[in-house]
Amino acid sequence: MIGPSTASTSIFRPLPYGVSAVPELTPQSYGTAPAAFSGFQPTWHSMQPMSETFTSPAGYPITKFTLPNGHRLFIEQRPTQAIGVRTFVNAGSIMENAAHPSQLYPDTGLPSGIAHLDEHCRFLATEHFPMKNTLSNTMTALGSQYNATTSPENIHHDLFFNREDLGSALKLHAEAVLRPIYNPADVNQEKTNVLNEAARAMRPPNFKIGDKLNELLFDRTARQTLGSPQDVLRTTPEHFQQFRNAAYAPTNLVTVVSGNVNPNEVFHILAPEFGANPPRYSPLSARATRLALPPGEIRSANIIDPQFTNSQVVIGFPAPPQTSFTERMAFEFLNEILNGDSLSLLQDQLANRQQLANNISTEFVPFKQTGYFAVGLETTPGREQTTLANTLNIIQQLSQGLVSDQKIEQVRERLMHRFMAQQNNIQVITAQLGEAAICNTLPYYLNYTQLASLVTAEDLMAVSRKYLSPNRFAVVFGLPSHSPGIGGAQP
Amino acid sequence: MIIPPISPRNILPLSPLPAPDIQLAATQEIGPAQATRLINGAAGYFVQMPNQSNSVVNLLLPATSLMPGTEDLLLAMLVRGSESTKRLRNQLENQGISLHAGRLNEHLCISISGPVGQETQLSNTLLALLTQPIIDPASFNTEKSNLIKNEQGMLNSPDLKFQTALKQRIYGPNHPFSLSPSDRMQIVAQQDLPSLMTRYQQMLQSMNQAKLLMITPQPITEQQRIINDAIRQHAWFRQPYSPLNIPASFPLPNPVGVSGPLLLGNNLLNRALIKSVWKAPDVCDPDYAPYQLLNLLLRGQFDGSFFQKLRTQDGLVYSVNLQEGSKLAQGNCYQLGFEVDLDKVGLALKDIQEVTQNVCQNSMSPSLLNSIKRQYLLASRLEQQQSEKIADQYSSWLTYNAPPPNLHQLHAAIERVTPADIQRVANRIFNPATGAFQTLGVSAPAPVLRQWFPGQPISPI
Repeated sequence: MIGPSTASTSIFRPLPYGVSAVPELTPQSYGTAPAAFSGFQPTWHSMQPMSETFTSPAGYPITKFTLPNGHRLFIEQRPTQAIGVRTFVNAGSIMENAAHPSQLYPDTGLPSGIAHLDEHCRFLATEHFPMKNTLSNTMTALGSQYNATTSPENIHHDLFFNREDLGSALKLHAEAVLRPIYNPADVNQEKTNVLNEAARAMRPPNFKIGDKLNELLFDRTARQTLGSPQDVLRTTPEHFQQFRNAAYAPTNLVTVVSGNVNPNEVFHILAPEFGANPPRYSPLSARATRLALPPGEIRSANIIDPQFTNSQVVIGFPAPPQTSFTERMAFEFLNEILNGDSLSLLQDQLANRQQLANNISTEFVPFKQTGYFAVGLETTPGREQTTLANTLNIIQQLSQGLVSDQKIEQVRERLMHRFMAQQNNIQVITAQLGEAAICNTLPYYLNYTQLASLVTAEDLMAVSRKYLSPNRFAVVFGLPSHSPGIGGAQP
Repeated sequence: MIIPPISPRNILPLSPLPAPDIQLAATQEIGPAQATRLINGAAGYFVQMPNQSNSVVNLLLPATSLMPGTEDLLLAMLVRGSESTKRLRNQLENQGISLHAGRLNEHLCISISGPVGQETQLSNTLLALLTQPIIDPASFNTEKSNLIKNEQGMLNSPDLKFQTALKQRIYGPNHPFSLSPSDRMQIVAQQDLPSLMTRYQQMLQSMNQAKLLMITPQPITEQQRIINDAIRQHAWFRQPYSPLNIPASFPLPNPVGVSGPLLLGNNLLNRALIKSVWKAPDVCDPDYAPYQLLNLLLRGQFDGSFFQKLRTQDGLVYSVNLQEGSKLAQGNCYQLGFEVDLDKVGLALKDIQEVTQNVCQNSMSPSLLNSIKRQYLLASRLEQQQSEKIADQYSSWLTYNAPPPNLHQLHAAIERVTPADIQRVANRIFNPATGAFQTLGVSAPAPVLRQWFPGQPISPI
């Protein structure tokens, strides 16, 4: 990773996800807290936290504590002297005013880019480290590694450190997450850093393709998380307070620790920190990415850029949300079947046999309420339509039972092996466990192999029919500036 | 057992398994690498690494000097070319076995990893792919065509054009590392199957220059037995092919790149790309340990010297890209890269100079050095989580003609580093009087370059 803080905005980059059972609220209902929250004061130490223990996919014990204010802690014990801690926030750029006006996303009063800018500010100054950069310098003095990422539907802060520094490192992590202060001079300089980040992210032409595909599918651009320059510059300390109050409510937070630690020791370090966060109602956390593409509609757009020499064809389909476990797992199978190896359908047909496309990529990203499945292909200028048509034709065959039982068994084995191989790394498992916890999809993570063992050919056909329709998709063509236009046979 | 509620859309009543009643074992550390000469003449390195679920076997073949520009085509043929190879890889993937192949410095690196207990299969599969390649003209033509298309797709990338021009400045215009995408396209287009495979077979016959690395929880003697058994089953190519004398390393003109900055005009850019390259100690150099800490001092996140100056203090950049990857046995290539607004090129160059001068002129505090040593320890511990990461690190050392590091000795050397050591190494790297190569490159629209570098020659893209 380069530098602290990364806005995750590309449609071709997996995004962390959040989920909430609370339905979408209208703007009029913002700020109306349920009665249960009125007058509640946090007294974490006066109440017994709920705790439970279960097994991680790698076979290590996980202890879960729920603090009285609703903040959840998950502590996995494994024999590594490097320790990881991540705090996930069920909030993101989805809480902001849309950078590109849309009826799907009513204004919230929060300027675009604030989730990301706020995440940057958490490294600058805090209540106990009010001088700029003293917090981050203290974290670095321990030899730790830290970063944070903002996505449309969640934010996470991470810290990796040596076992010997457990107490100080965990407290510093909580300080960064919970107690930022917004000194105007510091914030103004950080705005410049964010604008630099945006300029850097948007320079490659592929960003424009992902941005447009996001807009066609969700009526929300990929650059939303980076914010419009005007909004970033006009963001005030009051905006930060408003965002912080809405986003960092205890029930919106999950902290995961993994390494050679004692769960009770970790609890006694973190509970006073996170337990002091006042409970509050957070209606904005119910906002979610919405599908903008109606049934039976095909949307397309062209991006012309002199940096392209070959043409790009990027197709986006609706896909299942995070909480539809069976459909989600079926899509993991489809992704593998279409582009998992050199014998997969798209590679075999389009690259090897037809020699129509190269650099084929696929991506399945589930959100809270919807998701997308994207296919990216590079082709010779003039063959864009043929590439699109042939790709759609291959994908359509999935809904007609193209995949054999033998193939499904092979993919099943492969997905299980791959998942288990990932469970050796505290960077990966803190991300996967934390993401599952914040999205209320823990069963999906903890029972991944069990879910994979249940997928059938009928499941694959059903999700293909439901989501991968040749009559409902978005496509963006990236064309070289010398291109005569989109060519080839129409789909 | 309480778990978060399951969505109504989820029909599976799943719950986590009960917690195990276990005591965590104390962390076991990686053992030292043990070297031997294998029965076919290749050098073998074996490492016992406890607490791993995967074993790894890496094979390194010197290739760049024998077949410059065609390494990727050869690798494509070996590991994915024919239908049979694809089916084999498919079967391996289904068993949790991954096969990777790529260029690593001047070598081809073919790596296979899979669950512990399958070391015999890993070794046999790797050697079978190498020594009995399944090659056919049709798949050769397909791979060749795909490779050319991939290179074609990168022809207009401003970043690649800049990187190629910079490499030509550092390594010389004829060095294989300096090849541009269009150079590679031309070389690949000229290849035919018989000539490519003949050169490959010749390469396999120079086994005394090949290196094999195995990392697994298995005992060293067992590892050695497995590899030698696999070699017996998969003999290398024999006559009628004649061994070719492969130069160990492509000659490097040294020093190069000291004759003024490389200015590459590119009107497609709306920001300026800046890269600065220095020659640094390699893994065999006595200064390697202090150099590692100097690197952390400069490249660290919030407190990295370049980051502090260019982003935290002056707000010029979002990130600083520091590449410490060596390309050459002759010395590490230490490269700094970042992009800035077109009107901030001068400020950025001034900042870079200030940072390098500061680290040369001022000794760092003992407390700062201590924190950097802790960073090093953490990075090492994170890397030791997975055998594949350790295999990557050790393979890099092998390509520099050094044995894999003894991590205990390396950590002890790191602990002994003093502030004076860091300052001495900084002067060695950043002081041009040492004769090491030092190249500054800037790519931006030509009018911008003329503004910042009046009178200096500007190279066209």
